[in-house]
Amino acid sequence: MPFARTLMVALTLCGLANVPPPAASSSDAGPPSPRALDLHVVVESERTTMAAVRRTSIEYWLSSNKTWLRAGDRTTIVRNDLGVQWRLHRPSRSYSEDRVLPYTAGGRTVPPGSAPVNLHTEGFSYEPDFRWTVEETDERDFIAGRPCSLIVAVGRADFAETVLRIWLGPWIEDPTDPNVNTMIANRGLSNSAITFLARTAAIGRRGALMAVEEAYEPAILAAVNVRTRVLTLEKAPAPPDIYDLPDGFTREVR
Amino acid sequence: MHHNLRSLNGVAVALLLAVAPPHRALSVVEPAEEADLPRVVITELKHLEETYRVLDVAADKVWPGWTDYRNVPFLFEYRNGLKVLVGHPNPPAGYELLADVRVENKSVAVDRRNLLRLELEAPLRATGGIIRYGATDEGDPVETVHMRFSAAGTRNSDGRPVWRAEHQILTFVHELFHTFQNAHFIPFAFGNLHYNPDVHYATYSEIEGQALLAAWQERDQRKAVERLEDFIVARDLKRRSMTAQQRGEESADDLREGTANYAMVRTLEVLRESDFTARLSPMEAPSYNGFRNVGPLIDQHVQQLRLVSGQIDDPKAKCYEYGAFQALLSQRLFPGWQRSLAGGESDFIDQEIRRRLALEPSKQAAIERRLGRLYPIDSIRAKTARVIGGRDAAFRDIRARKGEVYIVDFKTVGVSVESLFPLRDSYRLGWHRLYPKGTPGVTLDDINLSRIDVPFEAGQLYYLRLVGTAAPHGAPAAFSVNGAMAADGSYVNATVTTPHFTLRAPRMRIDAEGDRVKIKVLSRVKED
Repeated sequence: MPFARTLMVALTLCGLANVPPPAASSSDAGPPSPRALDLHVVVESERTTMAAVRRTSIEYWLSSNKTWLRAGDRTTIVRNDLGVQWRLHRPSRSYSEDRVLPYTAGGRTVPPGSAPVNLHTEGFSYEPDFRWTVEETDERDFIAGRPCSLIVAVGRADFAETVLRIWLGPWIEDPTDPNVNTMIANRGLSNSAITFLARTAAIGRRGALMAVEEAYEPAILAAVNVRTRVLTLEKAPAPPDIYDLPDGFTREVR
Repeated sequence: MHHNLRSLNGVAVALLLAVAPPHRALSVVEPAEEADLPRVVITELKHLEETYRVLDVAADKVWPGWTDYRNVPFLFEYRNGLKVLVGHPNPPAGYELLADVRVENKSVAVDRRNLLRLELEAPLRATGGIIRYGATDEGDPVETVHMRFSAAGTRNSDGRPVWRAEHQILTFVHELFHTFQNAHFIPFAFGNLHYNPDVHYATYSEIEGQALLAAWQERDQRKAVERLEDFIVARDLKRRSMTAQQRGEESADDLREGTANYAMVRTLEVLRESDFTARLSPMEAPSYNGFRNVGPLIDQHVQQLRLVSGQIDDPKAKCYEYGAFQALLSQRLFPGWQRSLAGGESDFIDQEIRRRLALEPSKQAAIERRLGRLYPIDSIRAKTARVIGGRDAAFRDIRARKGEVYIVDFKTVGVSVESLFPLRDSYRLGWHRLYPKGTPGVTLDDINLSRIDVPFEAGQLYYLRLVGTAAPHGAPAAFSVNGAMAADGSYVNATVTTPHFTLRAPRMRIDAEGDRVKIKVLSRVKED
């Protein structure tokens, strides 16, 4: 597909390097030791299905090899450097620990149709193999202070359909995981959409997902509409010890 | 969550209810005129009111502590697009409250935005499920019983409808019991059974059913326990090809759907022994007999158990009665069985039965030998092998077809493809059904689909998928459309003709790309 127009826009946009960090505070004890600036992101998500709307706000701190994410009562800390992921439940002050799996675009490693047929389980699960049609648009907007452009993608499969409205902003050059460009605004989307977006946004370092709207008609279940949008995107010093397991939490035995 | 109404209706022909007026008719202000609701819709609201009165008598004897059955909203959805919401704390946008209509003290709201010109004629029957529908003021989703009504259709030889008010009330009981389960004793995360049987599984699955039936019919308690032992050992043998996850799914299905069906039968048993007084007049509920003759209603479940025992390719369909009769037999033989489930001693009914029987390995081996004497294993295996072999051959043949692809999508109009055609000569495989010999033509409202003479499958419930082999591989799919195109690109009152079938529908959208054509049926009734 001709992406030239979007690419031109993206290349002329300013990157995060131009976002000024907050001024360091001074103290009588001398200059503070320099602290790396991490990426701080707040994403708003809205999911509508069966006449019910569920809104969530997700806050991220991202550093090299480390991610902190909070949604509602749950906090997830991913430590790629240690190979673990902690899921914290703040009301019960408990947590679980799992071996960390490297993030892959869309989380899917087996393309549809490539697994051997198992007649015991054949026909139950269905992952749409969408044929995508992508259309560039002239629509522009500022999201979290960043200029973005809209593309619309329509996915058609035998037993499912989806329509994506994708706002791409400037590529984020950052010491964090490069997947940050494709993951921060994909919360709640269908698996197939996440895979497609990861591929679309990442090709040629095309842009960062700043907002996505998906109208998804799954095979059997009720239609789902998801809107997700980045509200805050900044470089800032992370709160101290935020990537560490906090004191006073008890590990769940499962 | 869906009650297996297709097969229940099949055995309902045997129902012979005495015709007698209810004990006492309420003086009811008929609100149909004021609310402009069809009479059959008012009738269903009356059935729901009667359901609460039935449960006032039966619920605590169905399951100790079941008292919260009035707390759950109902969503009634009709073929003409009408939606009726009862007792919802915060009806979603599009609903209007009806000032003159209430179910007990519950509000009634309707959504008429998508009404079709379609008469609703009694009798209706509904299948149901539990959904999250709308949200409270605080934004929490609302657990709601969702009932979809369709024409009950069939009548007995004497002209009376097979589907009676009692069936509908018991179906409401079934769904309400699901909401009780969710709040009180359904354990953790096992979804529905996802398992297609092989010959070994299907053989011992039928023996399980025969053992449950024999246990139910056995009056001698010691012998009934022996038949339950047969059931447990047959289940252990059956499950050798299943994963731990699949075993858990099967037991969880038995618990979910089985205890909900148990609630239906147990309600009938309690009503038989009580002085329940029906409160609906013939005017309010024309097919209602006030549960005056519950024996035939209980017998329907026994007949259904017998029927599903011999079904081979759809094990999920068995959980309703297999689970129900595990629960009914536990009620008869193992007092306190519910406490074990609610208290966490056992997660599933079969686990509780196994715990109560406490079979030693040596006895288990003896029972295994006994199965061969008591049950016709060889003939069951031979029958099963023919069906499973046919299914596997159909699967291979249909999936091997290469050529242009035609898909007809019935999801928008809420029609599962397998409900359109006879089940004979077809096979279930997951959420698909295989039709190796094609199907006869069918008409549904204003939709007409011609006979299909080539093998095809119904995929994911709602989609007819046919691979043609007439055109050269990779060639565009051939089709023509005769009808008017609307401004939105859909076709109105059009006919699509392909080399393999002809489809006429009031409105449809067609997406054609290369060797693939997808026809989405958007309406089943002609619009103004």
